[in-house]
Amino acid sequence: MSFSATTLFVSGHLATSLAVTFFALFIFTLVAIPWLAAHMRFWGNRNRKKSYFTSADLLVQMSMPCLAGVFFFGMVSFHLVSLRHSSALMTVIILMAPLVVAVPFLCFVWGAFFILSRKLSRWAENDLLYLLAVGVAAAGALVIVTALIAGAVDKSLWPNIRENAASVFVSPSFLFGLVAAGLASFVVGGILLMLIGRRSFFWERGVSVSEGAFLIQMGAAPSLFAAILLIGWAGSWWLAGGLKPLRDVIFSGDIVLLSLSGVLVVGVVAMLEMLASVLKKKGNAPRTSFTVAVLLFVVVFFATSIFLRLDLSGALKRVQVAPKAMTQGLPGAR
Amino acid sequence: MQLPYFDISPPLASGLLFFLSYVFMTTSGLVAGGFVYVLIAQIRGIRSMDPRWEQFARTFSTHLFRLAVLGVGLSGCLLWLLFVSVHPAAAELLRIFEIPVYIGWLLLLASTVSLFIYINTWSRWREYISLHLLAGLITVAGLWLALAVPISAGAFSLTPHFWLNTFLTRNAVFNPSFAPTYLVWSLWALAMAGGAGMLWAINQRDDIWRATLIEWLAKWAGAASFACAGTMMWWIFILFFEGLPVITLAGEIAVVSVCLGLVLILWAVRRPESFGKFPVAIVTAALLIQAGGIQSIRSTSPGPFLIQGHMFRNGILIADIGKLADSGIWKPAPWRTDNSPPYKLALGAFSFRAQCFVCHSSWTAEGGVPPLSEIKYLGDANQFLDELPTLHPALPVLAGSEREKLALAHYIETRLAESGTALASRPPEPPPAPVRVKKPAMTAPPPEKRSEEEKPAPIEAAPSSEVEKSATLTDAAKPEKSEAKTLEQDKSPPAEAASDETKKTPPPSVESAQGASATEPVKASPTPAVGDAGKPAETPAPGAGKVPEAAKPAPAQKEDSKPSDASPSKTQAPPPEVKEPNPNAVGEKK
Repeated sequence: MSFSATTLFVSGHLATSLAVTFFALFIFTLVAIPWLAAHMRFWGNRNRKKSYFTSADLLVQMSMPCLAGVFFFGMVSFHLVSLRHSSALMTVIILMAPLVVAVPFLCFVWGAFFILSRKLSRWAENDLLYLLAVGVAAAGALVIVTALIAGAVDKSLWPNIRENAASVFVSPSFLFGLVAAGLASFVVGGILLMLIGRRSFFWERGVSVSEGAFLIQMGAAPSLFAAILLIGWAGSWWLAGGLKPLRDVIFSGDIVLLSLSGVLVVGVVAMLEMLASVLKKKGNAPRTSFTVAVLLFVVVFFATSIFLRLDLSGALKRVQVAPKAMTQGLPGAR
Repeated sequence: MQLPYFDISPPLASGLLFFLSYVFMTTSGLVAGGFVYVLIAQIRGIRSMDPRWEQFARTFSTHLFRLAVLGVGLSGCLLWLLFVSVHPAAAELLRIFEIPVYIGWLLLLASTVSLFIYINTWSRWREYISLHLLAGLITVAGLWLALAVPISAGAFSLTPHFWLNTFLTRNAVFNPSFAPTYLVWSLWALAMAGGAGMLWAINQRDDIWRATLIEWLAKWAGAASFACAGTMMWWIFILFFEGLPVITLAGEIAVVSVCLGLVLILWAVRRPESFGKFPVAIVTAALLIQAGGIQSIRSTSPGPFLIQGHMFRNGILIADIGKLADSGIWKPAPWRTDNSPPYKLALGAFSFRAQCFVCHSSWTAEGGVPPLSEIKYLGDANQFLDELPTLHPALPVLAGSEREKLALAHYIETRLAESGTALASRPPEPPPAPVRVKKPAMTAPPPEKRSEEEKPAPIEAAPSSEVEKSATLTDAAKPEKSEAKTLEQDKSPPAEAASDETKKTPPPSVESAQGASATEPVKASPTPAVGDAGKPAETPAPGAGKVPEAAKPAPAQKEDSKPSDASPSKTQAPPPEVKEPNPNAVGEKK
């Protein structure tokens, strides 16, 4: 491989990992925003707390950029992954085409209902109802995307999917992915709330600092809880499967893969530590919120890189093993 | 690895693709063109100190942002998903445009971010108006440049030109019709956004403000329409010399553009106060019709190619034809339960799906194959596939191995038989006409020692009216080829009788199935092909393409799938020549 080819390969791999990371974060946000906004509005109505409404409005304001991110990074990820893992992705896209087509429609419904639920809209009286509808649409999109990934990863499902695309929903790999994605949405939602609470600490915002601190704590608790559950879920799942992913990483002999795994573990531990420190009311809350958000990005990025690289290194290994027939007739071959 | 086929009828798929392309083109044109008006309105507001211009720019930009996310995002995603599902070979376009597509994504990202900044900083950056304008400029420039990539890809599929020789990305991007296509689309986008602005403007209560807006928008939209008509001429010129006959449609679009420009300049600009809802609706409708025309020129590539000179409509690359002749189109894939090559009829169905289905999708329906003038006798299908370049210029090359070709011929004949077109056995050729041989001075050699040149030329098949007569000819009058197979003739029943027998009688033994190879197409026809018609997408699904037990000579079909059978000496011997001529069939034909 020449230098330029290597550069292109590495940059392409990096770009793919980045695009998939952003897509994952945006789609988790897509799920988290409506439920979180509905929660804040509901309890704001009950408790008559202004900060609840403010944060709900901020979340709603973020809806369109978030949707733009989902569309944009979804398409970029699809493009980049289809270039490198063309056969797997294209096969599952074609086999599950009627389901996959529903994802953009669900995103459209998501955006349309969010516009309707805004305060300026004439339909804003039923905002809570609209937000719930948005939440359901987002959950549907997440379920289909998870099914798509499960189908692309687990090739043994393909003959069944070919018979009936819905059969992917009863597969174990989908079940694992769905629980993991749901918990990840909780983590992302909590951190989003922490970032919103962090805004109160800037003087020009004109929002009470104590309310901001309350929002940060309110976000940290579900994040920590969901992160622990996610780790437990993944650990027990892999343990039941004989720790295959762990063995794949260790025995791959790929130093990059091992390094990525090391950073991932450190990142997860640091994130848990930060979230716990917020709950214990230690340290600088707004700065910790920002650090946790950065750590979340790092963790998702490294997890994505490992996920994409594991498959890649397996493919490389298969290429490097020369068929016996090719070596038999060569001079010096055993 | 082989990709599965998306189970959708090609007319529906092409209709959906056209609709989505149309929506994508319209919405993206509205967004790109609309932001030009937004920027100009903002600058006019700064200069004139009239707050209504800024109000117009703010409102319009918010609507455009929503349209960009919901309209362009949705239609773009759906278009791309459908396109790669229907044409998985579209990855070829991505491969050719890999670097430009990366650049396009980056530009779109920059544009989206600056757009978000632009619409959220109207108040916050009031003090830094030039910075705000810069964000708007980045948005507009990014959008226009990013949209050049899909337009270039569309133009490339019509006119690849030098790229076919050089395979350079720059030749692909800057193909001959790229510049006129991009200009036509850009100018139409400006006119369209002007029309949309007028739609917004006519609802304004202030009469003076409404007239001002309409006059301003109509001036730009009218000028863009005239320019669009001019560049349309350039486009027609390029496409005509590339051999793409689109003059009529493009001419009509140019005429619509000129009419639109005249209406806007002569009416909307000169008397904006009288330009009410009805004329604005007419203008918008004309612009939408124009978009449909432009889209149909872009999407309807005439001839057999999806990428001219490079990739056929069925997604097969010209460069791969030779490779496919060795390997065959059929390949194992993890999504199949059985990875062994399918038996003859299923392989034919697969070959049909891979190569012919894109244009002849209706043939897979029950009774969907029309009577074909080129295929009248058993064995004609094979001959037809051999002579594709002359007989079927719409797809001049058949890809795949010899075995797949034979299977395809078999499949076509079976489908024809199922559709009610009874194929007669080829009539035996009448005795050679007496050839006058000049009597040389010396005695002529005995007939068995004649040279090949002196033998009488074979006479073409007799017309169907004479078939019955010729069928009664004695074996001595038949050509040598059919004489050699009289043993099998005696064993095999006539085609239709065989098909009836198959329905009634239990499955034949291996020996009888092999011996009666002449009846195979008809035997297999009633059962597996019905399954194939129901599910023609790829090789038959388990159950769908299987031959039911009653009519399944399984070992014989396995025999068919063996490579040894693919040798022309065995499989090419077409059933018609093996059989007795079937006078009943000819009589029915009459």
